[in-house]
Amino acid sequence: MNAETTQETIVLDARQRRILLGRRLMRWLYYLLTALIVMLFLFPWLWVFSLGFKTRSEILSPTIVWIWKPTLVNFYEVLIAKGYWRLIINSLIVAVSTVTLCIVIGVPTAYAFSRFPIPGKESWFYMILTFRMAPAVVLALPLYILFARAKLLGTYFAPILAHCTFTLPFVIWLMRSFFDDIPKEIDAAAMTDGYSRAGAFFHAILPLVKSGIVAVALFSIIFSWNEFLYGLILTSDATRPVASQIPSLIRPHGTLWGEVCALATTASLPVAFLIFALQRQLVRGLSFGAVKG
Amino acid sequence: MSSKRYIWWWVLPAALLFLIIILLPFITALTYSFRAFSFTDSTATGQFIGIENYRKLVFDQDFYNSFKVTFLYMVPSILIQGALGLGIALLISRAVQRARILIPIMLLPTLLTPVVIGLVGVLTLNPDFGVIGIWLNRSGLIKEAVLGSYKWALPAIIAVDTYQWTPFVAVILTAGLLGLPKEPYEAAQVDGANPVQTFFRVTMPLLWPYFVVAMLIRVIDAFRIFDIIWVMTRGGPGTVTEAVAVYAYRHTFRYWDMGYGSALIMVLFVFISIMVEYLYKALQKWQGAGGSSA
Repeated sequence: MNAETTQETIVLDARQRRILLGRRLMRWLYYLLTALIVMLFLFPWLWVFSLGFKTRSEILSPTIVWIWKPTLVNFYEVLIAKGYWRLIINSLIVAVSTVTLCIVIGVPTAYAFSRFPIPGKESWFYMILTFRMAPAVVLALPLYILFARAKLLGTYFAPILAHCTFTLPFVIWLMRSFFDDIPKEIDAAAMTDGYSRAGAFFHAILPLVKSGIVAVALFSIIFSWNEFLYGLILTSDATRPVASQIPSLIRPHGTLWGEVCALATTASLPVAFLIFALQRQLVRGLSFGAVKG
Repeated sequence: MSSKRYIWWWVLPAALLFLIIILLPFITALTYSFRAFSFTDSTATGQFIGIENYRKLVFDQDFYNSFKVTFLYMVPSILIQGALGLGIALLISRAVQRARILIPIMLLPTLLTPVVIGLVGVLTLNPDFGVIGIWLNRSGLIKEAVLGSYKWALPAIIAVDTYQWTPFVAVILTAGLLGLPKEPYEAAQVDGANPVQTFFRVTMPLLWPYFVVAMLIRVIDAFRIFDIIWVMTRGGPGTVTEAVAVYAYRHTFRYWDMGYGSALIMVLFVFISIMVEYLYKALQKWQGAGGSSA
């Protein structure tokens, strides 16, 4: 009896060791595959960004130049000599103004959607999503006509108002999901403490959704920064954001690829930075609050 | 009564802004859609022409072509992205205990400026000096310039779109997988289920809501595709990559036909509203089932 048990334990150990080894091998295989996939996603744009640091002959070489002495000439030419640093400032002005306006206006609206018995609430809410989902080209023409009449074309107001068409719906949608996470009892408790509805909102609720507001704002900045069409047709050369200018630098012949890549790299850095700042809220933002990863 | 009026103050600023930037343009487009108005035609000065613009739209072959192109791009991209996204999500959720660390890196293609992603497509596929284009050329797989080819331009758009959006699908599904409850798996193990059975009987049903959300968002977003196509092919060669938004752009801001463009916009707006209604109903149904607190 006793001997049998011992023998069985030894046999099990050998099997366990095999299973353990197999698992460890699988784990390394998983690591390797994951690393490979992440590399696959990083490689194309890392390669494009590398062109910004190459000379024209290195870029146009029919065999890819993998090792070279990085140059900042392209960055100097496009940003300083051609003065395109203005485009970055324009993007910043438009994005920050749009997001500030939409947060100030959208957060109270989202709270109302979360808490108040608005008649036809869900229909309104779904209509707001429609605004966010419509292609820019649908609103671009009528906005162009209206802004032309109001003499707003070529001013910062035109792209800012146009960017509100997708930013405000996004703010309302995502902020509602953050407000919905907070129990209504907290509002009630604050109001029993003598706060008005607005007082409860400012003193009890807003501090709880602070990180949510930051996430929504950062996301909105990315979307505004990335927008192409409105920024192209509603602005002048002096007020055009950077994303809207990049395609016009690509010509059928004689494109200065190094400069285009240098500008694209410069325009991408703030977005990359914001993505890392967003970290835990990325999944929630991308799914309009549906997945609270 | 007074409390109801109180509610209005919360939504009034947003309502006013929507009035100016959505409703007013909508009404403008609606009225223009019944008029002849074009910057390139001096006889079209805004006179009322009834449903002429809509009639012209119904008989425009390019209009139907743009829908055809959109679906030819949408269906394969979404199927590929769904399959790849699921595979990657299963892999990284298993490989890395703290898979969340990878999420920001993975999402770079999805959140970077689409215009820049289009540029990545143009440059990597360039047959003379692009890192993929050279290889395609030398290996003899595709002898012509990919983006100028009637045969390969649309597949190239699909490839770049897949590069951009697969991480999005993968990350939503990874978040789903990491949030799945443990109990059903323990139960499956007790019942002696093999990995394949566990996947189809336990993982997929639990993951399904996440899959639906990711796919629905992709469907609606696919309908909006413009920036990447504009940078890569401008709808060409011919009209083989002219998706709906590119077609609309050509008729509004290239031909400056405001009347016709407005009629087109009205049709697109109705189409989008119907699609979004379906998305929203599906989202609500799922959230009603209690799947949202992952």
